Amino acid sequence: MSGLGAVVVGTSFGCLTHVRALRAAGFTIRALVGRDPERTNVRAKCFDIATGTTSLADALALPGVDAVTIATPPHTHAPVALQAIRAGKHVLCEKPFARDAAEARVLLDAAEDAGVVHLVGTEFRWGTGPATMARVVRSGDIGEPRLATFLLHIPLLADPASEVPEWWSDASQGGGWLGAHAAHVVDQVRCTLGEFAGVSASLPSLSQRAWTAEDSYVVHFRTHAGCAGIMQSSAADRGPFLIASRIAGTQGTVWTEGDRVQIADASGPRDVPVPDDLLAGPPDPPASDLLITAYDLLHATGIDIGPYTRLAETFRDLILGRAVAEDPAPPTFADGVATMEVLDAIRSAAAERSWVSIGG
Amino acid sequence: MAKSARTIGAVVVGTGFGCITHVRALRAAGFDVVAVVGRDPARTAERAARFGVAQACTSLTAALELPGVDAVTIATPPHTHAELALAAIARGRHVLCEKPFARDTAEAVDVLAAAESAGIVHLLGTEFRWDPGQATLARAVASGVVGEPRTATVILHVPALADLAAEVPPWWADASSGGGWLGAHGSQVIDQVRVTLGEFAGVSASLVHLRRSAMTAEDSFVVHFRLRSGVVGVLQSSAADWGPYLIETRVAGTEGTAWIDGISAAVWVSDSTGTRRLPIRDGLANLQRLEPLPAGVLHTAYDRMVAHGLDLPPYTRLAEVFRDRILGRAVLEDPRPATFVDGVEGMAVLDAVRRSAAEGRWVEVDRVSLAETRGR
Repeated sequence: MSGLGAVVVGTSFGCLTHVRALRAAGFTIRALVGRDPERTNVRAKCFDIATGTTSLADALALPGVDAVTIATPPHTHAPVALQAIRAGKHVLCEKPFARDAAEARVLLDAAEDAGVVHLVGTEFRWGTGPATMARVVRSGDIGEPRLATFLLHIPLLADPASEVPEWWSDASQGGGWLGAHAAHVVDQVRCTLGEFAGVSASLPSLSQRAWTAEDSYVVHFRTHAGCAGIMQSSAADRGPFLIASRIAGTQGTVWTEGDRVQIADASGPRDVPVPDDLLAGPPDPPASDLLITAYDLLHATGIDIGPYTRLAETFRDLILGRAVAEDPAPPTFADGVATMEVLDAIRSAAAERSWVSIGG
Repeated sequence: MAKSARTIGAVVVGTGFGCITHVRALRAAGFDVVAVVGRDPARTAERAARFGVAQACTSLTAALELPGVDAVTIATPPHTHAELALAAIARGRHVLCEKPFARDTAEAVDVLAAAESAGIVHLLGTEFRWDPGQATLARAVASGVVGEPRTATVILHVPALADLAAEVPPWWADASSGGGWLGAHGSQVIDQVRVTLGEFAGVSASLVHLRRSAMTAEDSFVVHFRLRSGVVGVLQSSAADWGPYLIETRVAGTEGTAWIDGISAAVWVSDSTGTRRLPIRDGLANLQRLEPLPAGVLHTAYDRMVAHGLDLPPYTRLAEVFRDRILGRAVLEDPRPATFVDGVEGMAVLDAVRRSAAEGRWVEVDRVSLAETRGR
């Protein structure tokens, strides 16, 4: 055990993933914080957490609390994070990080001023496929990267009967597929190809329901380094899975199929050996009786628990003042700010039907 | 009906795709190919002999003097189309012209106006309107199988030109001659989207060079588009991607998703009732008897790219429509034949894509006033 204690805020992804990953990294979960007293108590018992409470203040006042992890609806992240930072706790916060880039900068400044460790929940930086592909691209093995393709079409929410949490269907609470999924892809593009220069975008919905949040997105982007590409995804496409992560460069092309990474160039196609430090254990799904809505099923594969445990280990080591690896670089609130700038630009581009530049 | 009792004579301008596809498709549709026109006398004579065409000419004017020439088909570099088409139209010949149709929308409008006022038959070489897969998908979407269409994904990555040793004709490498992958392939997928989902409203685009070569024309493109109907989507393609084929043609709507399996004729739809394959109807099945290519006519990687043979069956359908229109016969309205009107609409989209890529911004597609065109 690390001797570190954590409070987890959020009874859904917080329990399904945070609690399990934190424990695997040696944290003790001191309390679970939720909005609904009954559900919070049931989930705390179910996950064998001593305290279930609806008061973050009460949880922060418990002995042995070093850190807080936040897995609540996106627009509630900021007040929860600020309260934890003010109490001097280290904070790991889910993505999408904040309401917008301005709010994200407030959180970054507060965390820096308080001197706490701050991380964002983009765990797929430790995903075997994405992390290996990022190294291949940065090593120059495909020459200069020029054309990137990120596609993920799945039928998860196509059926109008498939349930999501109330906040997730509501754009004004930070719901929707852009924040849920594109936040990961934007982070992957930034890690692999560098910062975004600009975007055009559309935020369509395939499923016909009373949602204000989109279930699909289309983004055309260019990076400052001169790579162009698309990010296109739908959570409500009734067709077969369409999944591609692929970067073409001047000397070759690299792509992933799950954890498998391949490269093709003038000498032919070949597998890229997975570096030892990026090997992942098998997926570890949560118990099926914990999965209630279609939305919960997003986490049913268990593919995020391995990378999330690496994130939790990094959180632990940073808190303990230990050295951590530089690659994958730990995603901090500064990354939360950078990704929110891209998500803000995507929303503006979609609303204004224009190209929106990012950064300088 | 005396006219239908005789064979229609055609002149083919262009010794590359002109010979590989036009000559064979025209003959399969019953045309007599009277002459091939090329710029280089030796190559033109050699190609004419190889394809069994009686006359080899180095000028269209000379070819138009030959007896029995009713029609001209044009498969030359894009920026030379207009002058040739106008010459043929001025002599009252029916014209089938390759895509990309012209230098830009303004030139396309001029050619359309001339063709309309001359009253000739004019068609555009977007043969994939008769591709069984594409035509079946378009019909399925029109019939409502996906509900209201909302997103489209049209992606094709192939390695044809990835290797620097893969040769292309000089004009094709040259953006100022109308070369490049956007004109070659983008014009086809733009036509496909127009046929399947309607007219373009605006685009955001990047033109990409994967090959490190002296080519000024792009080998890859990325287009994010919005249609007037509100459908949004991406057109992305590369001719120089070393990776495995990446091919996707899919339309997702409120009730379901329809897609083509690769570049085949297999079209599928998934909705709340399950997944099923759609039948190929009404004569869209591939033609069986095709004239084989003579030996030794493919020299460059570009030749092999355009001679994959996928286009010959749909090109033969296009040639049959050209024949029937010249003979005044009724033709099917679906697939609707592409005329110079479609050439103008397609050029308006290509112009917007190029402007977007050059200026790094979203560009609305100009609405071309065809009524005004007809008034010229």
